Amino acid sequence: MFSYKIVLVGNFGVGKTSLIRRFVENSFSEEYLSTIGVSISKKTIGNATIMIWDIEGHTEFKPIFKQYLMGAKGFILVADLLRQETIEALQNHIDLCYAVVKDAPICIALNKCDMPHEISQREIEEISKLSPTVLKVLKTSAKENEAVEDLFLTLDTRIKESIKAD
Amino acid sequence: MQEKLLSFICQKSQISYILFDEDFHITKTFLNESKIGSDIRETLWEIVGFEEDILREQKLEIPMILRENEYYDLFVEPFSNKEKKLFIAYMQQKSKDTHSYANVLKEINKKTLIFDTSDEKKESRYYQEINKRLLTLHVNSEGKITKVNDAVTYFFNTQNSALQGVHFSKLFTPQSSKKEAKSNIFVAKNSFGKEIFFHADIIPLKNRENKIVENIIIAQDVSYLKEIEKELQYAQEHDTLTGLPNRHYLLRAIEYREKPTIALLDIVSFHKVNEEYGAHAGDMLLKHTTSLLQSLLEPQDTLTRLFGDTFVILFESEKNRTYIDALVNKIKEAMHKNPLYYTQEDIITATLTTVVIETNDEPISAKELLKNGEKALQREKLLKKS
Ligand SMILES: Nc1nc2c(ncn2[C@@H]2O[C@H](COP(=O)(O)OP(=O)(O)OP(=O)(O)O)[C@@H](O)[C@H]2O)c(=O)[nH]1
Ligand SMILES: [Mg+2]
Repeated sequence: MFSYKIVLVGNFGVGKTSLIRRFVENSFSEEYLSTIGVSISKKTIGNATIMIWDIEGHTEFKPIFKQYLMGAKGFILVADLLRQETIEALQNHIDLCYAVVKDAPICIALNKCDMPHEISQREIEEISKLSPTVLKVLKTSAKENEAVEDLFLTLDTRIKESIKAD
Repeated sequence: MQEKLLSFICQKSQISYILFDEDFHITKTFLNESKIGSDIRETLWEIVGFEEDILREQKLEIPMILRENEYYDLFVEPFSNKEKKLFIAYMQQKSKDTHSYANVLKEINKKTLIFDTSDEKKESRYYQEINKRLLTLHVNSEGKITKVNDAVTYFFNTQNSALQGVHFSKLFTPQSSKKEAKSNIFVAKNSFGKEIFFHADIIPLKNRENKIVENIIIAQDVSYLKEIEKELQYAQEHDTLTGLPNRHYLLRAIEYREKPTIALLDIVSFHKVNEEYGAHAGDMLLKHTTSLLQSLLEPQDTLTRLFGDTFVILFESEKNRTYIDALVNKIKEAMHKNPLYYTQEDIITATLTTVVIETNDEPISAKELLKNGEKALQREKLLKKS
């Protein structure tokens, strides 16, 4: 048995808390209760316990707190398909993650795909090229439970591989 | 002793603490005695990932952790104990103020998210984009500027005060052609000296007596439309082979002259060149003739290709008949002296049939003038043949 830490990073309101709730306890709420500070959940997958850090989202007047990212083995970056600015912010989040934990793998969730949205395959490909550490870009829905498992498990698999290799 | 004191201090100041060893096993805790001997990471999840830093005796500080509806800051640092290397993790519970602060932030985020996904935001952005490009000026009944928006000062790169009292026409020149006497298109030079076309709407503001007291002028940059229009007009009025203006252009240009004089020139037996050497030779001959003619004309005179092998020169009004006749002879001579060297063996010498048409005092339309010219040229050609 061993445990490792991952962090969900993104702008406020993109659905970080909702994705974690869906993954950990398979539930969803329409009500938006913004996360202030950080709260940690855990979930056991196989022989590992994942400590999932749900940190407060980036807002115009509050940047993301670097300390929260330290010690992570991987990141899930979240953007909201309905808000272009949250997608444009991904590059900054990637840079921040890289500055704190070099070479940590990243999965990107383009969340709320249950809502009508416009994103082309080309844009998705461009997002996946933002950094070589990006493993996968997924359209997710915490609400409809779409691609949520895939998101967390892809990262889990990669992290376990790298721990084994050490 | 030190540990006893610690627990006392902690109780007083709302601090909880846990002592643990290098194997991350709890040696003492303020919380619950039953946890002693267990892995601290089972209790303090936030330590996962920081093990190496802790063992390297780096201080750890994580603020604003939410757990069971309480906020606390976590600190981890080495703890001096003579027998064993230990570490202390202590948690400082946040005050009530922190909760109300967090609640305010939550409210703000909630409202911002609603606004960010609303049509209102999309609309306001859209209008902001448009407004940035719209110049708005208030002009009094004498045409003098009384008020401008930021777009105007930005465009002319000047201060608001510098434009006060300036007459509107100093900045914007109307672009009206003969056909449309009243046009909404104005030109203004921006701060880089570039001419920008505007479509301007003038909205008069009337008072109770129905008297215009002020005009609001809203000017929209339509240069891109003008560009397209210019390109289209150019394409419509020019010949692709020689690049010369064509019949459309010529008709328009004749209309602008008061007493126009034109000369029509036609290459003798042009169709024979095409037949004998091919269409390519014909094209070459047309280009060759064009550059010869251009080299002999003054820039004020306009050379056009009417169709096929017929060229028309439109002369500037001041040119008299003597000058024109002399020029036509010069052209014929030059054509004779400068044949087209199509290949080393094929040297094509072209001769021209020419007529000159003047307008007398009776006004005549451009079309009629040209028709007269074409008729005269036909006659001249027949004469030459016989
Ligand atoms: N339709 C839809 N709504 C979602 C989805 N995920 C989250 N939401 C809604 O989006 C809002 C924000 O979700 P949160 O999970 O609180 O967002 P967050 O990223 O944790 O926000 P912060 O904690 O403020 O950074 C809530 O109202 C959710 O119900 C989704 O997949 N589809
Ligand atoms: Mg949240």
